Amino acid sequence: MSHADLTALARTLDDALAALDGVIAVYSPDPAVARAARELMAGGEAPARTRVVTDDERLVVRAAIGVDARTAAPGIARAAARTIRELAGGDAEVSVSVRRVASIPPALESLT
Amino acid sequence: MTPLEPDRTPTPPAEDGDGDGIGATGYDLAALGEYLDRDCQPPIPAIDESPECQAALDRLRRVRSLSRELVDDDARQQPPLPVEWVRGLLAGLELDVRAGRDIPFGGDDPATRLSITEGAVREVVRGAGDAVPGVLVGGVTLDGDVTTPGAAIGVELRISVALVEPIPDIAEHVRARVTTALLSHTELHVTRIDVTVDDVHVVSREETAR
Repeated sequence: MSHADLTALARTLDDALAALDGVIAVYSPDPAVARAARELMAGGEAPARTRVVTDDERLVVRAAIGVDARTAAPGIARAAARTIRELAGGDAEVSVSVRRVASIPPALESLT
Repeated sequence: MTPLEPDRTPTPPAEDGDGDGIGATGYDLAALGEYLDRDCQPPIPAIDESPECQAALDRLRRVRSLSRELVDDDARQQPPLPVEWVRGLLAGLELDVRAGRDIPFGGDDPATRLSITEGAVREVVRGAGDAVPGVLVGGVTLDGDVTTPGAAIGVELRISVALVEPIPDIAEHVRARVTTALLSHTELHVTRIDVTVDDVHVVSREETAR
């Protein structure tokens, strides 16, 4: 798979994950410094957040998401992994990390 | 009365324990407070795309909102709240929002790895505790080997309360909510939840009845 193909797949995965019920954000799984370096290499264009690379011809997908506190995080993580497999293929190595579970206390909803 | 706002002395990008700020973005809590003051404008992608910074910003919003409510309450009837109260609530927040350890979710497929970060679990606990009326959760600690499925885990919370009902009842409500939230969002084997009340703010019965 070419670099362009990997980039396109990563962007497709970003969109697919963001569209999942219960997902409130898609983050980069990389540390901030590595993320900044990727942005520089991308020539100023914001890189895809989901990481897609190849390792011995095998696709490796690393995703990080934030979930709505009203939905169970393990179920959302599994749904995210299924979505990645559907798009990246069944042989891919997939990791999904839940980085946030965000909730707004009802008393504060009017204040935010 | 002393204004109940965090100390927001302008601060350059952080040099905290790791030398790289919240979520390794280079921004510390003071910088995030300033960003919030500006309604998060102009956008700073490093902050907006960092789950740790977003969790910290949510926390700052929560503390400031509660502070304003209590300032109004104090102005009517109570002795002033010490500014240390807010500082105490925010103390340790930079540590608390860090991603920390990866806590695995179970699964049969060896090619799929699912996890939740320790920071996200702490956010779950804080959110559940904050949902109890009059409660603001301070520090949250997960005690035990969270990376090993099935290991016994203890959860420790420190809370500040507006005294709208007896403290043991408030603590029990917090424990119940946290238990439910952890069962929903994690697969941890939680064997104890310890709730420590750090601060108490007395609210009159008149106010409580509103």
